[in-house]
Amino acid sequence: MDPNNQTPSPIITPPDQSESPASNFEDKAEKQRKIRKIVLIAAGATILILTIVGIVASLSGGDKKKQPDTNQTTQTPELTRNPTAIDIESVNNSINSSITGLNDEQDFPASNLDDKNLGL
Amino acid sequence: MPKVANKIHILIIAVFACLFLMAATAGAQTPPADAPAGSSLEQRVAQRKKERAVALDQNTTERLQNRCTDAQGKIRSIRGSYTTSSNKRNDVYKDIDAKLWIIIGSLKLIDKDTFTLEQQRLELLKQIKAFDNASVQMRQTLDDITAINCKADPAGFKSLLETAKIYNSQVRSSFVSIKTYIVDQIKPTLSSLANDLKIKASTE
Repeated sequence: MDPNNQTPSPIITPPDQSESPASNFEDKAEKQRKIRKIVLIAAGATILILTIVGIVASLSGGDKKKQPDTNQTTQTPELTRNPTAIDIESVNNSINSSITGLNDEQDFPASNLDDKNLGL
Repeated sequence: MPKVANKIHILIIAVFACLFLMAATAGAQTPPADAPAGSSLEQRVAQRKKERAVALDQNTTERLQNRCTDAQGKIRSIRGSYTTSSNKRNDVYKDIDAKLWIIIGSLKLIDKDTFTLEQQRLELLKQIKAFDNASVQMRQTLDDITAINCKADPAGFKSLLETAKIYNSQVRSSFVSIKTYIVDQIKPTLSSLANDLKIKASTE
């Protein structure tokens, strides 16, 4: 009995609250753990993807840097090494062959436009 | 005295006759001017008629009119083989120029004096250009000869033919000049450079 002759206040249970405060706290903690897990997994995946991309980029970029050098040395060796007497003589002989191989009379006959040749 | 006067008159007439003949001959030998780019057949025929100043008598006119069509057929085949020959020759000249250009570049890399060879290459290019121009004009003239109505304009036909003969002569002299220049000038320079390198290699 209340010494002041007051009726004891009834214990009012909120109609939408079916669990205890302790279980609410556990739910929140559980949710927070789940959120943390998701964030960690996402961060880890992002780091992994970026790492893979970086490795691939560095490998392909390295290959590109190498290729022009090998191409240059295989395609145009004449420009990268010093000429020798043999090189110049070779060019000289090649020019000689080219010019003496032309048949002047066959290519441009002197009389092909003569009136006699044309029947005029 | 009258005999002396007569002799003097004859001498003066002979001198004038010689001068007249020389002038006529010089006119016939005058090199043709390049046909302007974009000119029509009529314009080129008019140009060549003016340059050659061909005068045809009745007999020559009739003979040309009777025979010019067959001649045009022959010239058509000459034109075809001419094009092939001049293209082949141009390729050879380009190849020679490329080789000179490369050897000049490689000699510059080792600080060799290439002034003479460079000058000779430029002169060679000038001569090749002259050959190419004469070839182009020649081909155009041959095209005009085959295109003209030779029966309607025998003087035009004759003028074009005479022009083509001059261009043919120019083309022939230009490639002889190119060959002579390469053999007498460029090849000795290359030999001299090769000798210099041999001496340098043997002393090192």
